[in-house]
Amino acid sequence: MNIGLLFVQHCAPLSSADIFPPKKNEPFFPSTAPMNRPATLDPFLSLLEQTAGGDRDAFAILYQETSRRIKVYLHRLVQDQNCIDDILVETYTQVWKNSAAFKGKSKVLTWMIGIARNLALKEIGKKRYHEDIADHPEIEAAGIDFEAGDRKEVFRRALALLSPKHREILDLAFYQDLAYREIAHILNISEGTVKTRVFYAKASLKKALERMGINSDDL
Amino acid sequence: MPTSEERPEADKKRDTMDTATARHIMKKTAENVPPAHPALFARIEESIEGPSPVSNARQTPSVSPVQALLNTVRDYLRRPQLAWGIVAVQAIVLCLFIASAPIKNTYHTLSANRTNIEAQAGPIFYVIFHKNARLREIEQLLTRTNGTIINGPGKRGIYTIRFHPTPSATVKKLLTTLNNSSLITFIERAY
Repeated sequence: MNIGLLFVQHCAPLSSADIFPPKKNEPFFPSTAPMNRPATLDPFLSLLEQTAGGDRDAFAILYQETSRRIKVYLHRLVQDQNCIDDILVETYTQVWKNSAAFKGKSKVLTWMIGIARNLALKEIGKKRYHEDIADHPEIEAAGIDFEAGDRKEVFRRALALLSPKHREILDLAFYQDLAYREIAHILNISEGTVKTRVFYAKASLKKALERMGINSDDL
Repeated sequence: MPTSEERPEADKKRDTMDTATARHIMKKTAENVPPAHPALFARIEESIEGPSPVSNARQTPSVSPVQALLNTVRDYLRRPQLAWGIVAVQAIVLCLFIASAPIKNTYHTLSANRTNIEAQAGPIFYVIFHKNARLREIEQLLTRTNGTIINGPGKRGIYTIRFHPTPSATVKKLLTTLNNSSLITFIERAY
């Protein structure tokens, strides 16, 4: 097996639109709210089924296709590079071992994020998961030239001020592009709570940016 | 001050950011996350060395023959059809036992045979003995008439005496005998 070929990383995460491009005259919904997105087939189900049959090549492809997204998710939640790597290894080990037990109650990626989440929560503990912006009175905006292209750094610092809980929900909703139903499944909460948490997470992010002197309406 | 639910929708929107901005920020910050190092997959491969997931799922750990037998029996008993069968058999056996069991008076409550006890007790009289009567004379009278003091004396010197069961004709004789006794000043049948 040529491992080198398998590690061609995507610069941007895969979405359902990448795998199933919209047909002609069909509306494209890149910016619609997650709950309105039409249901699509699971792009990773076949790979997981082959993995369950002991196909290591399929498992390697599954890793190649999903590791970026899982890693970004873990980065939001844990923010410690060493821990993230360990959790990532453990996550894929669990995926391999439990692939035959996957019952299809959720999408494969949702299931995998759920595994990663359980491992990450063990690592960070409940207290840190609920820490909020109020626990970080110091704002480190000094030395950043927003206009000079340091936007990513500003965003990174603003996100770092949020609680892992809020970073997590923003990632699941706006980076992973999961439907509210899927997010509710991962977090084991109701869809209503997901909506509320998304609302407050966005408000916290806006507040964090404002503390750094940036109005999110101008972005 | 209005609560968050009472505030107009426009106010609420001012407190948060639009979805497109949030999406933009999340995508931009994701670009900062370095890709997974190839060595990570090597670590994963190391950790999954051994049997495949299929054989993992079906493989059972080695156990002693006794344990294996117990496991087999346990698995056998866990079958729902068998469990219902056992319940049905138990119900049938219980019904047969109840139907065939002989009905015996192996015990009775205190109140169950009250009528019989009273029937065996015989007539009861309230009696006042003469104030000069001696104990020995009273005992002789009671022995002669098969009487037993069951209560008394009360405040007025009334004793309750029970006599052995006798036919009703004999009760009259008994009453005459007691009335004629110089030891008794008052006698009346208790009902």
